[in-house]
Amino acid sequence: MVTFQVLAGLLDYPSERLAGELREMREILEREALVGAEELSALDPLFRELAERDLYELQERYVELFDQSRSLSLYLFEHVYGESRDRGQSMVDLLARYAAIGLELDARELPDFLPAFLEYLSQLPLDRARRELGEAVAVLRVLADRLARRASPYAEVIRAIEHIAEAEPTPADLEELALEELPGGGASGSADDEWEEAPVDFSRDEAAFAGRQRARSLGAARRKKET
Amino acid sequence: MSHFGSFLQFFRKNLETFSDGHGVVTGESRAWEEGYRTRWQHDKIVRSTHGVNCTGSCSWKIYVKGGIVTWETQQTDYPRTRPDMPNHEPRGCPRGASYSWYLYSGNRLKYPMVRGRLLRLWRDARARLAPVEAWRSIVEDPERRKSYLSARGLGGFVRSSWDEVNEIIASANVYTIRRYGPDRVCGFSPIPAMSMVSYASGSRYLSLIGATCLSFYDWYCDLPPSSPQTWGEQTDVPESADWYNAMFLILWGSNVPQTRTPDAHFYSESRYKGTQSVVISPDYSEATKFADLWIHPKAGTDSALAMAMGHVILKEFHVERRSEYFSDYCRRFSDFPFLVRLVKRGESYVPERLLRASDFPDGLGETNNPEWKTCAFDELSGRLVAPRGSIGYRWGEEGAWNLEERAGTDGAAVRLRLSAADAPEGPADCLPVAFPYFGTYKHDHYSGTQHPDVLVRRVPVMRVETREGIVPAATVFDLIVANYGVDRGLGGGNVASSYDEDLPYTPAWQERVTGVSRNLVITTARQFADTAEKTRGKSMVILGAGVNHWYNMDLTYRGIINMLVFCGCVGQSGGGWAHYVGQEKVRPQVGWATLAFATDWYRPPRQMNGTSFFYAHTDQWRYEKVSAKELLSPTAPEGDWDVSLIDYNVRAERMGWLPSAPQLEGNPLDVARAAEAAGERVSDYVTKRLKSGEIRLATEDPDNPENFPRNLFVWRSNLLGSSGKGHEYFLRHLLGAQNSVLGKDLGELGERKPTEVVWRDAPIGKLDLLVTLDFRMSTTCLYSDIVLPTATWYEKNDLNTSDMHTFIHPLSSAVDPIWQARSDWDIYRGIAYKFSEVARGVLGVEKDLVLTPLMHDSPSELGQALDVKDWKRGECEPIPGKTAQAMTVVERDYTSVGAMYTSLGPLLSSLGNGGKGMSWKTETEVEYLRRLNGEVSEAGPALGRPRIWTDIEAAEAVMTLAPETNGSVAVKAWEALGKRTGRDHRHLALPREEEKIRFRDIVAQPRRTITSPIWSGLDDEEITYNAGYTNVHELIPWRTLSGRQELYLDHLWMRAFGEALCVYKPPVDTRSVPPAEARFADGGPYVVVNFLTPHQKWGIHSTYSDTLIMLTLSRGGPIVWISETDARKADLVDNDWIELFNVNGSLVARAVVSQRIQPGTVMMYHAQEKIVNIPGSVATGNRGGIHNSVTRTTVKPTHMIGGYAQLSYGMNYYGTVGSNRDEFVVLRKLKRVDWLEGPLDPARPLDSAARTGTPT
Repeated sequence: MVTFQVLAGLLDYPSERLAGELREMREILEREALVGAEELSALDPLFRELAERDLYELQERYVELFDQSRSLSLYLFEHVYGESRDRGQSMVDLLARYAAIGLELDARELPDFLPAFLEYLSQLPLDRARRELGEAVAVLRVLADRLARRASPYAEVIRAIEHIAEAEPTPADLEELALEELPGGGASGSADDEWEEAPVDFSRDEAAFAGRQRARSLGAARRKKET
Repeated sequence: MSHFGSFLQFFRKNLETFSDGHGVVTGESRAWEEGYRTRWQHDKIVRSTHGVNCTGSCSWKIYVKGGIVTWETQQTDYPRTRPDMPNHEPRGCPRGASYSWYLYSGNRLKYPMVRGRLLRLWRDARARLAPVEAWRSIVEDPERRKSYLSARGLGGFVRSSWDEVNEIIASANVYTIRRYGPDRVCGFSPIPAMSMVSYASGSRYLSLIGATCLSFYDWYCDLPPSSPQTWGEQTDVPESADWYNAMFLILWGSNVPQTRTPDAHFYSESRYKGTQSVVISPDYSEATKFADLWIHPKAGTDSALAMAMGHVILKEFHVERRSEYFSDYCRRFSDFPFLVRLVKRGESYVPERLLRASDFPDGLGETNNPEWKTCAFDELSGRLVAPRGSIGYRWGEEGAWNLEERAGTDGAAVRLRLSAADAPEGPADCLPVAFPYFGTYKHDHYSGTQHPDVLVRRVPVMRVETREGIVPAATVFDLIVANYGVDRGLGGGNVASSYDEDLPYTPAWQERVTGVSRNLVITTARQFADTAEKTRGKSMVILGAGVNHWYNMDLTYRGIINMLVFCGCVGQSGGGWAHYVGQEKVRPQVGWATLAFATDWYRPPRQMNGTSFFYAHTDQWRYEKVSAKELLSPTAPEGDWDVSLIDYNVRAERMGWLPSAPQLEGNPLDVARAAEAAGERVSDYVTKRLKSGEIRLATEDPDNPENFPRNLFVWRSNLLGSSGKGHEYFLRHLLGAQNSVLGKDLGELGERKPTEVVWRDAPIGKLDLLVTLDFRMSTTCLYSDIVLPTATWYEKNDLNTSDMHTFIHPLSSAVDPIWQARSDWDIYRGIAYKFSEVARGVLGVEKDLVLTPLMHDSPSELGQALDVKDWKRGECEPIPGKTAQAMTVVERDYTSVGAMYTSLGPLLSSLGNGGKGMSWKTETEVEYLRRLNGEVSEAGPALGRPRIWTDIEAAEAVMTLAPETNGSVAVKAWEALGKRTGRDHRHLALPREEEKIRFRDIVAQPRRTITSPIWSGLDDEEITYNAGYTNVHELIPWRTLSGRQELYLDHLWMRAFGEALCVYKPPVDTRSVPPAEARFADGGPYVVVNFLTPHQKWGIHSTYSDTLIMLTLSRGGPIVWISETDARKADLVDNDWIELFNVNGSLVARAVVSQRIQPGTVMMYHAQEKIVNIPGSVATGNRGGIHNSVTRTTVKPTHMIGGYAQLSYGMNYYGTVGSNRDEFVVLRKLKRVDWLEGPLDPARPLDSAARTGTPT
């Protein structure tokens, strides 16, 4: 489905070329109707901005969001693996998946770049595309939430993609990803609270120890409540 | 993955057997093995390393799968050492092992970026105008210029393309060269050894266009000025394997396991062998775990400790009993026997300069450079002689510059007298001699002692007949013994016969200064010397940044060097001075320097000492509170000494001692043209006008817009996030960005201003363009106008060496650079070609007047021998190359910069190559490169020249031209040196004459380099590399005035500041706390503490610490270590957010409360950047700064001396250094943690509200 490519295009770096293609892109979305009417109208503010706003402002915003904030990275594995060495192997596996349908990465890009992944999905039968997109749904949810917290119209692109997946992220996955959130990167500004842990104490004063344990679990509960 | 059912729990099902039942075949699933198989599957393994400015130089295996780097492991194929010596492996540390992820990090720079405001201006202008005109239209319009300068550090980047950024950069460079001069374009990159082709790429481009390359080693304060002072050598040290040969090992301010991790195993192994080890460190550092004895002096007082140890060694091994080995060593290899003239001052005498052959009526038979030949008394002939080896023999004659025990030109055998008291009839006389004492210096945080500031002691003297009559003279040895306060039974006061007397510099005296028990000092010194005597010099001191980063670091170092020289340890295997602080040993230096400074096309290159440059152009001098007056010696000769520190720097530049950048007030292209129009020789034209004042040096008016540095390139460096001392001053004055400077300058305070420089309104934003090449969005990138994405260490080809081992090995390209990244070599090549294109019509073939100071290792190091005369004050004539900077006209073809960048120029064939005062012909190597790399076929100046298009071809050029990697060049180099020394040294390289180390060789395996006269040790199978080895064993002089290890520095400025002999000086008072303390104290508790910035464990060397994995192992963000005592005083608990500030600025971090730290000090690890977890500072209202936000550098006049043998300028060799450890800060709890997450307020002023006094 070309819809995937359109959504990939919306996540592309704003340019004059992109501005020139917006009309056609929106028509495709309408025509293929993979994105529901409600989601489609939610995309309109972004369409409008990309068409009308000053290009430099659009680009500066894009760079700030996607090139300079790890928590909003468009590289899927940035969220899953971060700086773990498992990331390399996972990218290798993803490349193999692309190769299996005869696709060879032809840009100096990483395989886990969301627009590249979307382009790959566009080459798959829809139900398989949905299934594979479902694997990334937790990342999409977190990403959309973070963008929404910044009141960014890009949140709606991610939401639209997530809707296509027709899958629900597991709470466990979401919690794990939420923990990856960086201090200062969140909206709450309570990075310290989020990270606060009670000190470990090996002393024999068991009453005091139990007290600290209680404090710890309270901290955890508070953290949960906030997310 | 579960394999339930694949295995039987109780049975084994054997299908058949083989090999007579020894083997069985089973049918169980082996799918579980798949996990292991894929884990270790790879397409290829590539050899590379980490080109950060770490001296580790560890070779790594990089594993690549499907074009993706997946992990790395340590290489284990370094050539073996000899039997009984441990091998070098393992080399590598967790910091290196965490690198592979960085290629794909979210922080990686992916595209060339330009600040949006600038790019918009550029595209608008470019739509109408030619490139250079477009740039002019932006920077000559104050509003346009300000619009993007003021946004520095505040985001707003957009992507651009290589073609576009190259055009902007080239246009800015061309415009600046035409409008202001090529010396207004500058570049900064550190430590070439770690990726030398990458360094060379930028410096080659800059040198071709006549721009200025800034030094780094001195700016980092890693350069130990004591090394040039004593040995005429920048830094030459034992490789880490030689620690194993030591029998007594002191670690002094060096944290080997943390900062020399891959080498630390030699320290462990040495201890297993039985070597005694003492660790001297104020904090309980990781190295102290290795210690037999831990000594912890009060931070900053180490020179007192060293002086007291020297006192013990002199007394027990040179005075009460004379160790035969020590005496013999010092007679031959130190300046001990040389004679110093004493001059009467009041009731006593003051040691003046060393006597020279020219002082005697017959010149001692010397006609060549007699003013530069030092003298001693010969016991064999009973006469005064000018022994061979002094610097006068180095230039203008051949064959007598050696350390044979022979008199000057007649070559008679001599035995030099160590002490006037050694005369069979006793000394001619004993005179009272005045020695300055600085321990009384007033400082809020260091207690002085109550001794007089002049200590008169009796010294045995000779009387010698000079042209000026009979004068008393003392040997350096006799002066040193008196200076240390050792009683020799000569009567008089201020000498101690017991260690318990409280007199400088006894063990009892130091106890009051350092807090260390006298017994520990006595024991350590005695064992150190005793071991050295028994093993002929196998006592070693490993010393580091902990003692080198102080204002008076050279005195601490000299105190330690004295101990080593007294004990005959320097130049002996297993002994000597092991300074490990940011040393950069580009082993193939001569080949590399050719490429790096484009000396194959033009000579000389423009080079500038970084510290003086940044001191002037970030305007830190405008805030200077340390006066020369308080630093002067009470015994200083008459003179105009009471001036500002920058005044000294101006004088030094004027007299040709230090370089200048920018050089003259006018454009050097215009000056050359005007001279031509006037029909005069350029140097005559300029000299005449300098004298009349018509032309001035730019240094006399650094805040004049005509003299601003205009374009700055930063590559391989995090100048603003890590190494910019006085960070906030950089932001305020050099960049014109938002800053947190809190203090007022001398003008605002109404205090006395410098006399040699013009005082103007504070400049805000000197640079038109700041370009940074990096692979991550560092703090420096945040403040840059253009950011270029560079290849990482696994994406390019380069060379890597270190002084920690003697091997050369490569960085090689495991994968292509991803996104739009390019290697540094390719980036600058692109800029060079674009420059040639853009220059057409604006610049053509131009004559450029280049000023060069009196360079070390060249005949001009023989500047003013006996006195200091300043032409500006009419004391002498300005003579370029003698009393002023040398002047050379270089004809540059600005339209062929690209073609020159990518080919080897003709000067190698016509002028040859060389280094450290040697030169040799090199046509053979040029021809070899022509055949190896191919030749240029395009028309132009490069036609037919050897090609250096790729980074590998550049590496081949380096290795072919250098003695260390080309055996036949090594033999030629030794031959060249042999001419000077009159001795045949070729045997050191002949066995390897046929060897040529090529890039593919080192890709296969690290190779040991070849012994070369560029260095002072052997790269040998049998003898581990140790500095000074060839001086002692091949009798090659040190490159100093006397040719020996120089413990008496007789230059006028040294005497003025009381540092002719080593003395104890406490840290200087930077006065940066009281005004800030008064203004910002808010009734809450706080402490005032000494601020130390050692290297860390959880960042990538000194460059960055945003590796989250590493940070996770610590506290995940910026931290400051504080003692329990101080934490209690400031009402803090561990992990509290704290704020540190003084007049320089402020920073915010979490407290690590630890018993490790000495009360009164705090430690903040180097390079904790603004990009990770930094909330706002309450004091400034801005985001908390980096560690250098609370520092400001203070320069030292004695480091500005030039044109005087070893005290002559060389890039990264001698010059001012950026010390920062004398700084104190106010530390208190951060009341409000504010992450300052909000949009940019365009109306926000650049200066901190706290500075201007407006409410926050």
